[in-house]
Amino acid sequence: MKTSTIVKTINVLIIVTIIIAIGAVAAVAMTIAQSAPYVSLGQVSPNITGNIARVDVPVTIGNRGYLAFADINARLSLKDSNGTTLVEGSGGPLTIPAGSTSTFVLTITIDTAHVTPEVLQGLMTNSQNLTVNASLGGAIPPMVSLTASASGNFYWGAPFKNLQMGSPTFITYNSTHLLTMIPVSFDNDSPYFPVSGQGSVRVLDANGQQVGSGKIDINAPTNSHFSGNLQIYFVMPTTLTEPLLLNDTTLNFNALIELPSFGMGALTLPYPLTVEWGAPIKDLTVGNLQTTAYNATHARVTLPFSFKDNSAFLSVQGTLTSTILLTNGTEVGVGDTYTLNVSPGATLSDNLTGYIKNEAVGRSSYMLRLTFQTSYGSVIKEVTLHA
Amino acid sequence: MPKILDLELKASSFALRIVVGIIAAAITFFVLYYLPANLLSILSQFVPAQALPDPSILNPLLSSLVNPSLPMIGLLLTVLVFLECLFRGSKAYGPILMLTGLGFIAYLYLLFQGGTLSMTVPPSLLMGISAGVALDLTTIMLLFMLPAILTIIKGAVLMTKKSGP
Repeated sequence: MKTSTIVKTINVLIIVTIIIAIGAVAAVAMTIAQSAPYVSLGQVSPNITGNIARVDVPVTIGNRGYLAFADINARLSLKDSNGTTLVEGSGGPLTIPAGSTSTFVLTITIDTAHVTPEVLQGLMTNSQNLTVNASLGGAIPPMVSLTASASGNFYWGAPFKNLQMGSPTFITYNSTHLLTMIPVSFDNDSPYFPVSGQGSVRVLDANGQQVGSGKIDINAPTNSHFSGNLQIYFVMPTTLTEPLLLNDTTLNFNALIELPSFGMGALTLPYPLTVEWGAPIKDLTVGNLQTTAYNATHARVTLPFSFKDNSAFLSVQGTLTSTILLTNGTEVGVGDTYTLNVSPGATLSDNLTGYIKNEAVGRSSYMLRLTFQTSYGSVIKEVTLHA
Repeated sequence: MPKILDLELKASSFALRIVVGIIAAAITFFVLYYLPANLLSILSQFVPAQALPDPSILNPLLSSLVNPSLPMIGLLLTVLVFLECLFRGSKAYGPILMLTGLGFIAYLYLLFQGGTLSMTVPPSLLMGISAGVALDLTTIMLLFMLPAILTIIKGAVLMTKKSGP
């Protein structure tokens, strides 16, 4: 074969190969470009089976190009700072021949056996580094194949970092309900999620009975500090037990606070709520019995007494009656009915008056039985009297 | 009458070769040297600045895509393309074709990073997560290398002819 023929043949081959190479690139580019408008996200369908919450994310891809898409796959895992797997996801492999349409389903699973409410609460209130591992792959054989992977830690800014609730302030609201204001503050440390909306709270007593409820309006843009007041309406107590009437104490409640959280439903945080209870009848003291002659059968008695209404919001209204007993329990005297009307925080210091049988006068000690009848219940208190 | 090695040319033909050589070299220079060497500034002329990532992110991204040796090989190919036009038909044409073919193969190999384009996405672009993308373009790279291989063969054939009896 002549050299010139060989050279001509090679020239032709060079042109043909250039056309083939450019054609191959064009075919790949056209396949991607023509299919891109036919990629659509379908209806996301969540379902729960046992401990597994599953969310299927369907992505429909219409291949309008000249080459097939093959081996489309995706993997995802997200772990918190303790190594707990929060989210796992996988999909594929899927092949879509040229000219056809298929649906790639990315299945995201959350194992609630691991992702407990405590873990979620930790995510909402503690900023931390989350570990992510993800991979994505696909090919347009035999021309192109793509693999992408991502791994590392990224900073998760907690939307409710440093969540704090202050001491409640009591404000009487009406005869049936008590309004309390509790200062609430937190830092929205998230650079991505604003927190806005109305939060609510339910307050339960030790028996799980709801004793109060309230609300708070929150508007905390990303990376901002929020402080506001949580308004809780407590049901005013209709009856009080003797210890609550007579003794200061610390009452423990469980507040279930529901805070708005960026489309993931409300975040429920249990929060221990302590209330310093002031007794409506505190530090009851009774002075020495003083007697004066009255008639042939009875003597007049005067008995100094005092107590403080240490409640922040309950007034003491009702009556106080008294009975004088000998130490063996024999009733020997009776007091006049005393009308009580003491405001919250006030101290009542006055004298009880009454009568005692003449034959009982002169004893060194007696028993005094005091009966407080208030709108919150009655209480009987016995004290030793000295003449 | 100008003489290039074993080839005698008319003055007009020589001038035409010079002009064609300059045009071909200019195109080669622009595509193979200027574009890869000035990718960032060219991009910023066509894409709005707000659509581009910060230069501190974009520069390393482009450096991982464009091998620093590419512009130099592009410059070498510019010279070779000019010489190819000038020495066409002479005994130096075959070796120049072979060198040009080899140069293109080297250029393509570096451009396609050996067949798999890999790129590291800076953590600052993805919430602090480092990500990597690998695009296997081996088949396309080989397809583009075929004309260069054929050019080498053509050069070898011409060289054999020139060195033959």
